[in-house]
Amino acid sequence: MTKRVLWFLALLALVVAAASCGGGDDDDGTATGTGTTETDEGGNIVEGGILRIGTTGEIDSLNPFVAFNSESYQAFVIMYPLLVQYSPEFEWEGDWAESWETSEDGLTWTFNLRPGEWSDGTPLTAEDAVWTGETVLKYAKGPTSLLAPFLANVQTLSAPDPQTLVITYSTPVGNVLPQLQQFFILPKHIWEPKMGNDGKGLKAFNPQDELPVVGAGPFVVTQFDGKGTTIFEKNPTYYGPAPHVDAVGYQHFENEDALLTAFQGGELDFVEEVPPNAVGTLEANDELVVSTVDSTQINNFIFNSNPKKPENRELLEPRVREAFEYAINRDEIAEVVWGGNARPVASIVAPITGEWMNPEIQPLPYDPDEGNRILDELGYARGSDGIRVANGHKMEYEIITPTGVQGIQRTFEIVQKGFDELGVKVTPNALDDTTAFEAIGAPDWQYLDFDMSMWSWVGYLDPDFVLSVVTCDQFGGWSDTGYCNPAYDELYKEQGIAVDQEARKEIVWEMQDIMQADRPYIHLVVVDYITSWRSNWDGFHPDLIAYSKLPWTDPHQVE
Amino acid sequence: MRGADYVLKRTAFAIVTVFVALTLNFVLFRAAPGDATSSLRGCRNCTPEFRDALYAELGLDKSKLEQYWIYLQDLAHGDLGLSFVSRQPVWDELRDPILNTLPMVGLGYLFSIVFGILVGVIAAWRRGTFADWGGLLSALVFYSLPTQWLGLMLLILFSGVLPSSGISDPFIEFTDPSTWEVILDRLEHMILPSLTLGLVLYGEYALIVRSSMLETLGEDYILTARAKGLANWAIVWHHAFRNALLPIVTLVALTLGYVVAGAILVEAVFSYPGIGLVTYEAIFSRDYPVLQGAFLILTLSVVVANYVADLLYFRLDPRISA
Amino acid sequence: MSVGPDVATGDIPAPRLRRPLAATWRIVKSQPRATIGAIIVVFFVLIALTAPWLAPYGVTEKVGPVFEPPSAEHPLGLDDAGVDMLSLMMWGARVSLVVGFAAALVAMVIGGTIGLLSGYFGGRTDTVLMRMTDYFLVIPDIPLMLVAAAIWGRSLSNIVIIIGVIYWTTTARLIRSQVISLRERVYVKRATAVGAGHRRILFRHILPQVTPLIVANTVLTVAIAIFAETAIAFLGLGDPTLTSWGKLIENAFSHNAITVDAWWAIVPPGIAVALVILGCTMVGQAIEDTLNPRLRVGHLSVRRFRLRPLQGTDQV
Repeated sequence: MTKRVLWFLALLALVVAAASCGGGDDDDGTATGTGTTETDEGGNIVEGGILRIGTTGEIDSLNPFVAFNSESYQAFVIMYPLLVQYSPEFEWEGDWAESWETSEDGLTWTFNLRPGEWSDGTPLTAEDAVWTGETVLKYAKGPTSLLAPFLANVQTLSAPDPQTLVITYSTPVGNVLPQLQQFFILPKHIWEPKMGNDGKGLKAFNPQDELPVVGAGPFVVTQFDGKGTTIFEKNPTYYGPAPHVDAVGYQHFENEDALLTAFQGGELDFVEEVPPNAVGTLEANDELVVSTVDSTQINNFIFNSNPKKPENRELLEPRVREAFEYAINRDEIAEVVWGGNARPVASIVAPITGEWMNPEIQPLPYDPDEGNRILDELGYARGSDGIRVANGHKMEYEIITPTGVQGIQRTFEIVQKGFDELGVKVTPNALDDTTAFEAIGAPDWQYLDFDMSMWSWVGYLDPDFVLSVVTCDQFGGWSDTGYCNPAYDELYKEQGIAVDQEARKEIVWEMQDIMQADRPYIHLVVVDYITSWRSNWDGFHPDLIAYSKLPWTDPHQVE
Repeated sequence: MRGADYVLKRTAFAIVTVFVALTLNFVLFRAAPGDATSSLRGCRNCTPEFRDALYAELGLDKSKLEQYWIYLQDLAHGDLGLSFVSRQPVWDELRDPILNTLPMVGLGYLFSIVFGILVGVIAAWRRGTFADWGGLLSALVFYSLPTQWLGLMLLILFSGVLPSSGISDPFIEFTDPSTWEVILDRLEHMILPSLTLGLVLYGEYALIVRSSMLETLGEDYILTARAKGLANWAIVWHHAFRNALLPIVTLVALTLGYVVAGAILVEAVFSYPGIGLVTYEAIFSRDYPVLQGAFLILTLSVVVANYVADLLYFRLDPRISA
Repeated sequence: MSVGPDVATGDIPAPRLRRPLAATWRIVKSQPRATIGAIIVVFFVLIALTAPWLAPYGVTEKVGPVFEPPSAEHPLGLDDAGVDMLSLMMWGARVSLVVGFAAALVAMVIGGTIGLLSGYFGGRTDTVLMRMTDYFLVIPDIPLMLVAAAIWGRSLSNIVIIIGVIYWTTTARLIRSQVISLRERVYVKRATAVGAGHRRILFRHILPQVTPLIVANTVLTVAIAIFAETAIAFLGLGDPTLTSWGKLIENAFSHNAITVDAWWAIVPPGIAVALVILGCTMVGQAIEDTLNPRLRVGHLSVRRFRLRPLQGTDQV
């Protein structure tokens, strides 16, 4: 659905510190086991059955080098081994790794891996990890750029024996574990033959052409339809504790009402991203449980920030962007679109990350008069129809609105209303997510065609990923702004290796200052993550989705 | 007009119309201004080799006329091109949706014909009475309701009783169902979209059947039959209905082509994965080959339906086949 | 000439109409069906015209919480953006009716012209034009409208033009048939003998006779056009800067009105559209029936399905 990677929802953000604190001296992690199942307070665990999940989001691709929706990443976490994952208390525990050690200088990390098999019987060894890592690094500026940030500063990977993986870094890195938590390990024997010239075949491969998709997680994909239902079936070769259910069905709905009708009618067991205006109705239903947790999802407004763009160059002017921000009524968006389950923000780093968010950066108030004043000052006079003229043409623009973003229609209309007051006319260009992303990168990831768009980011508790999306390297990768600032990139590299927490914080704050000044984004609101499930089910962990395999292995029906 | 003459002429006309449809299809998607022609941009995550091959195959470097020729040749082989999104043949993407739409539309059709004829005949027979007014009113009302809105109303009415979207329960295979249960599941999902379509069509048919019957009932031979002492229902059935059948049958055949196209709205409301929904989705993903293929199929279905109607008419109308 | 049943409008010689518009109006007044229909349509036209003054609130004006139920202050409640539904309905009437009438006008002008020329001149002109009409008839309407909106943009004018261009065919055939029969009338022959030019004959003799039929057909086309607009809007391809009834139905569908049980956001726009279509249909059909009591089935202009007359009159 939205272009985020993983959701990071911390109920008790305190424990975050464990993840990013300390440099090389981070724990010799000893795993507490991969996702122990909870004991129920009341009711007994019923084994078996299918967990039917409904969403308006979409798994846009089963190819990790192509997919950008969070739903896809949720699936990858389930399908593939990860070295480590978050425990319910947000501490580190091993997924595939049983334990790990760090060298004195913090440069060498050794992971002891559980023995296992891929779902097709091929042995699961450290070789797979080595191959995946090396491939990602080799083509980091090309086909594998989406996964490259997670292996930043990795120098080598090696497998001294099948159950041991050694990763060496070129410099001590402060956030190794949060980064490696996103390092999907792919089956070498499946992917290597697909590489093609210079790895270009990697992005062209559709894993669903070879069902069931070979994986090593608790479930494997046996049926795929991104716009329909994807079925994940229990994988007997999984190295961790077996899930309670036999299968998970992940069903996409085009229409929210259809989703909720199906849910209330008993056709679904769990719903992601409940539309805010339906929360009251669901809460009133005894058979359903509604859960609201904080998240890092920030919906935003995007400017094409590529200085090479040929048309509408007035939009590159920072003061124009500032004026536009004055015309956006964030409070109305929070109320109308999100039913109050959202709050205005001005940085890409979410409040829940704690001290990583720069508190001095505040959203501009809704003040169209001020916006008008700025545009008047810039000399963009209004024509007879009330629309301003800039550089000899009317200020009329198209905004790309991806249909998969929740509430985008209404959000756009509120923005449109505000811009009307400025004398700027905007129309929506509604495209599905993949097409929208391509339209933003057009032509061919040079970011020359589009003017503005609207989307969202879901970051992690660790800000590294979300700060990386505006680096120059991410053209053709995560970038949806065409922004490229060498000074910013320098700081990004610095924070990646800053071992001292305080120093790193300073750098991260400075980066946010730069973003504020240049305004490639106007960040709108941070939204809560609302889910719902039937009351005869238990074991859901909405805050751990895509951070652990527990959200899919723990759910079970109760007596 | 001689019979053979007529058939020949209609066949010739149908063939020409097919070519017109093909040409229109080409012009709309490949030659019209707008970004439809930049088909190359749509090739997602392709390797450069694939892209070059596609370019050469579509002949995008050649003149429009040459492209048209290539297009026709491809069609002759049943090649509708490759989807931008999935890079699979367009026909593969369209085949299942077509198979999904046909029974749904057929069911709706059946409903509308049966009830349309029933109500139309009764209303005409009992002209001026309550039955006539009731029938007329119901027909007019359903005729006037917007299809998608009627679908929403039915959705609300039957929510909880019947499934509100999709073509089948995606998880049914886990319950190890019998064939009958699978069929039942499909039917459950088909009822609401079919009913919506059927109700809207019913309005139309009832109106037309009524008019047609009224006309026929006023003819002389009906009077003669009455004078001969035939019972009312016998008259209605044997004489009037038979003669009203001709325009009714032709109408049914004619609207068949359009109904498939009109099913887009119903499939959108109920997320029913038929050709209408595929067309709709192809628009938002700018998947022009699929859109072009779907449009072509819809157009051709209309041509075929018209041709069948012509032949049927010829068969049934005593005056022409003389 | 075909020997089959003709798309007959002229089987029964109708008296020569003077003051055709007045005659049309008389027909409407005489049939209760038509009168009711006319009243309905006029009612909505009045609402559309007076909306700028009578509508209590604006189209984007948030006046309360999301999906507030109807109250004394807001008789039709609020939609999912907190905007007054009654105002939305009134403003929406403007857009829907403008599209309906404008598109019907386009269809009437194109169809009427083609029908007149085709019927009057006959011969090759007739054949060519009617062939063209037949080809237009095979294009599936809603898909074409969607594709056109996707390729050429979602503006109001595009929509009006597309609808008009798709639906002119029935008008053309109807007009043509009546013109053919009129052509043989005495007064026309007399005018020709006297040396009157084509223009004069067409405008002074033929057009007035055909006017009621044109009016009837246009009214029916309005109904079709309004429905077509709701279809385009529902599929997300309507003009994004305007709110029509069709857009209101789409809003209800996309913004969970059903789950929230907000019937006031769903029911009114559908009923309004249905009433206008009903009204237009009643008026149009009443006029057609009166002008030609022996109208065959092929004449009923069916919404969204364009009928060909039931045999080929184009065989000549």
